[in-house]
Amino acid sequence: MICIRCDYDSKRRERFQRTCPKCRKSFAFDPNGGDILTDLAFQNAINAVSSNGHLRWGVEHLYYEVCRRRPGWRPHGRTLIVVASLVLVFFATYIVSAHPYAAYATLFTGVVFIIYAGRWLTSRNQLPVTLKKFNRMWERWQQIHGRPESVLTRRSTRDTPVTSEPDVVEYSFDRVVICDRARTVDLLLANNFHFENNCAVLSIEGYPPHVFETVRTMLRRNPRLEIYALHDATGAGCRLAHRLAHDADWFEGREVIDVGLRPHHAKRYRGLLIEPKHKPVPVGNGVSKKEASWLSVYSLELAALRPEQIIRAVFIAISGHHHDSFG
Amino acid sequence: MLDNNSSFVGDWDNCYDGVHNIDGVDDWRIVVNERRLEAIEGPFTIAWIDASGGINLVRDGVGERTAYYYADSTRFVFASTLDAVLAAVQIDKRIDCISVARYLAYAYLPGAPTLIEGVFEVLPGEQLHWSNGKLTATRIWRTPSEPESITASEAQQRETLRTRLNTAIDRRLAGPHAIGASLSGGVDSSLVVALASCRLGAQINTYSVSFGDGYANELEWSSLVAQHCKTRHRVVEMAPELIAENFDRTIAKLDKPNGDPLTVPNYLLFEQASGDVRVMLNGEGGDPCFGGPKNLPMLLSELFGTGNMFEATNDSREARFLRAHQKCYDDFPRMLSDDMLEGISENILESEITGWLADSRYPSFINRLMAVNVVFKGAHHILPKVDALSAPHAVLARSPLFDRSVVAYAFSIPANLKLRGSVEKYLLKEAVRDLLPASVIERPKSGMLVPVEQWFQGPHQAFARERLLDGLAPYGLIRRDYLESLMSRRLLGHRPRIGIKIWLLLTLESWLRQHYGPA
Repeated sequence: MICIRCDYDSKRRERFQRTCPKCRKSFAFDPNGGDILTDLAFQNAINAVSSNGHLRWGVEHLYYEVCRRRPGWRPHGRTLIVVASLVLVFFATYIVSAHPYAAYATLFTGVVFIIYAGRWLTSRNQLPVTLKKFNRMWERWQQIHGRPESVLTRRSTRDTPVTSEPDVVEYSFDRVVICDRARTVDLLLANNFHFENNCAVLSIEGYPPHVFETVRTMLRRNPRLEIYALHDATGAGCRLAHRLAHDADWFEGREVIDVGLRPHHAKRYRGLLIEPKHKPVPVGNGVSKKEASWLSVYSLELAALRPEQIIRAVFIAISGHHHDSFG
Repeated sequence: MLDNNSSFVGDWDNCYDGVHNIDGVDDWRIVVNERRLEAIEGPFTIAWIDASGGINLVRDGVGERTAYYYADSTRFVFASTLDAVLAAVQIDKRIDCISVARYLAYAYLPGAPTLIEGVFEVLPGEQLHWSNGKLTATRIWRTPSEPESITASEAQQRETLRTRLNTAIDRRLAGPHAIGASLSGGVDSSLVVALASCRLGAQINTYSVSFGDGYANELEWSSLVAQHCKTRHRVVEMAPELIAENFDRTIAKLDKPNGDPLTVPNYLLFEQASGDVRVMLNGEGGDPCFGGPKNLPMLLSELFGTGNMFEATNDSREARFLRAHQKCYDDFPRMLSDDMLEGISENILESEITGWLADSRYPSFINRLMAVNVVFKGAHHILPKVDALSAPHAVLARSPLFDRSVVAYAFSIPANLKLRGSVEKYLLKEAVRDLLPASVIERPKSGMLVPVEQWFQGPHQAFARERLLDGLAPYGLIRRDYLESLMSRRLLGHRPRIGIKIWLLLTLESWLRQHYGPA
C-alpha cells in the first residue's frame, strides 16, 4: 500500500497500527483492516473532483466519486464471469444432453438473464457506499490528512451587506442560472462561473440570501435576459423551468431554457441513481408521462457528476452551442 | 524660460491649444514659457532643457504618445523607444520579474516599469524634471473627478457628447492626408467611420481583417457599415502563415510586450493601408471610457462577494480586477518559477491597484473602474500599441474616442448612462444612433475573433511548441512543466483559455529574445 506522503509502497507485514514503516505517519485507511479504499485511492478521488486542485467542490461530489471508485463490484468483470460461465454451461449441456436445441435454449435464457440482471444491478436506486459509511471515511481522512483546501466550506452570510458600492445595484446582467439547490449555486459561484460568464446565479428557494432579492430586482431590468434552469433529475427539478416561466415572482411569460438533468440522461450514470424523496411524481408542469414514471422510482443528483463536467456542460449550454449538454 | 537657443525636442501630431493648432517648435516654446502645457490637447511628448540646465520631459494627458527614460545621479537618458534608451545607457540589462508577472496578469505592462530593470515609461500627463542627479515628477493632467451632481438631462448629455465627438473627429481629419479607418464591425469602429464620413463629406477608405475560410469573422457587420457609410472598403486576408512570418517583426516594434493577439493583424493592416492613406482612424477608447466589457463581471463579483460566502477564497477586489483580465493571474502558483513567485510575494500586484480601486474622487464604482482602465489600458496598452505599429509604415494612427475632451466628458456622464441595465456604452450608442443601422447599434456583444485556439491546435502548433519549450523555458521565468501542459492542452478548468495564453507567452519569448537578448 502506497503512502501518499512519502510514496513508499509497504507490504502488509511491514505495517503496524496503520502506520507507514518509512515516514511513520498514519494511514487513514487500510483495506486489510476492512476499509473499502486506500489512502491513494481516496486522494485520487479528491483529485478527480477538484480537477487536480483547479476547482472548488462539495463533499457530496466526493461521496459520488467514492461510490464510483468502490472496488469489488465491477460491471465489466462480473459480466465477463457470467458470460464465461454461460459458455461453460452451454458446452456442458451440449455434451451431456447431446441435443443442440437444449444447449441453444440454455444459451438464450442465459443471455436474457444477463441483460436483465445487468440492467437491474446498474440501475437500482441504491448507492454502493452508504452515506453513513462515507461520512466516517471523510471524518477519518480529515483527522489524518486535514481538510482539503479546495473543498467548499460555507460561511454565514446573515450579516453580510449586499455591497459597499451603492451604484452596483443599478445595473443588470446578460443571463441568469436558477438552480434547484443551494449547493449547486455554491459550486458555480465558488468556481467563478458568474464572473466568467456575466451570469447571475440564484436558487429557486432564495439562496444566497444576502443578495437574493437585490439580484432578482436587477434581473428584471434586462428585457433580453437569458434564463437557464439547472437542476437534479427529480420531480421538482424537472418542473423548475416550467415553474420559472409561469410564476409571476419569477419570469412569467418568458422563455426559460432547461439545462438540467432529466431522466433520459440517467443511462450514463447507472449505479449512481437514488430513491426519490417525493413520490409518486405527477405528470404535467414540464414532466412527461414517461419521465414521471421514471422519477417516481429514481432520482439522479447533479452531484453525481464531477464539478468540471457540470460547469463545462452549463457553459456549453449558455454559449448556445448545445442546450442538452449532459446528453 | 525656453528661448530660441534652448534645446527642444518633441514628437506630436495635431495638437491644439484651445482652438489653435500647435504648428511648430515656436508654438511649443510659447506654451512652455507661459506654463500652459496642461491646456494642450492631442498626442505629444516633448522635452527641453530649461534655463537652469534642468531637463524636462512631458507626456500628453491621455497617453497618445510615449517616451522611455533612465535616470541615475549622473545621467538622464530618454527616447521615444526603449531600445534607443538601452543603446544609449549601456547598462547591465536585468529582467524585472515583477513586471513579467504584471504582463502575464494584464497581457500588457501598466504603469512606469518596463521589462528591463531601471528603465521606465513616462506616465500619461506626467512632467519629469531632472536636475543635479535628482528626478522629480509633477502632473500636467489627470482624469477629472466625478462631478458631485449632474443637472443636465439625458438628451442634453447626448448632445454634448455628440458635439465633442464631432470636434474630436474634425481635429483628426485635419490636414492634407488621405484618410482611412479600420472597421472591425463593432460599434466603436463603426461609429468612428460613420462620424468621419459624415464630417468629411467625402469617401474614406476602410479596412477589415479576414483570417481566411474556416475562421469566424465579422465581415457581415463591417460590410454593412461600409455600405451604409459608402466607404471604399477592402478586406485584408491574413492567412496563418502570414501571421507567423510577421510575428517577430511585429513584436520587435513594441517597447513593452503586448499580448493582444491583434498586434500582428494591426501591424499588417497598417502596412496594407499605407499604400492608400497616411491617416488611419480607429475606434479604440470606446470600451474603457464608456463602460465596455469587464465592468459587468466586476459588478457581479462585487455583488455576490464569494470571499464572504466561502472559507479560503481569494476574492479581494484587487484579485477580481486582475482575474477580470482573463489571462494568467489564477495560473501563477503552477506557472511561475520559484524565483518569480518569491518576487511577487506579499501581494505586490494586488497592492498596486488598491489605491485606484479606492479612489475617493470617484464615488461610483463604475467610474473608478473606468479611471483605472483609461490610464492602465489606454495609456499603456492601446495607444502605445497603435502608435508603435503604425509608425514603421509612415501611417499616423489617430484615436478620436481617446480625445482628451471626450475622455474628460466621459467622466462627467453618470454611471447609469454608461451601463444601462446590462447595455454597455449606452450614451455613446445613443449619441450616434442616427448615423448607423439599428442592427449595428443593438447587435449582441461579440468576443474577440482572432482564432488563436484554432491556430495553436493546427497550423501554429509546432511553431509554438518550439518557441515555448526551447525559447522561453531557458529564461527560468515560467515552469517547463506548465509550458508542456499548455502545449499538450492538459490545462484543466472549465475555461482554460489555452490559445490566448500561448500567444501571450510567445509574445514574451519574442520580446525577450529581441529586446533583452538570449536566455
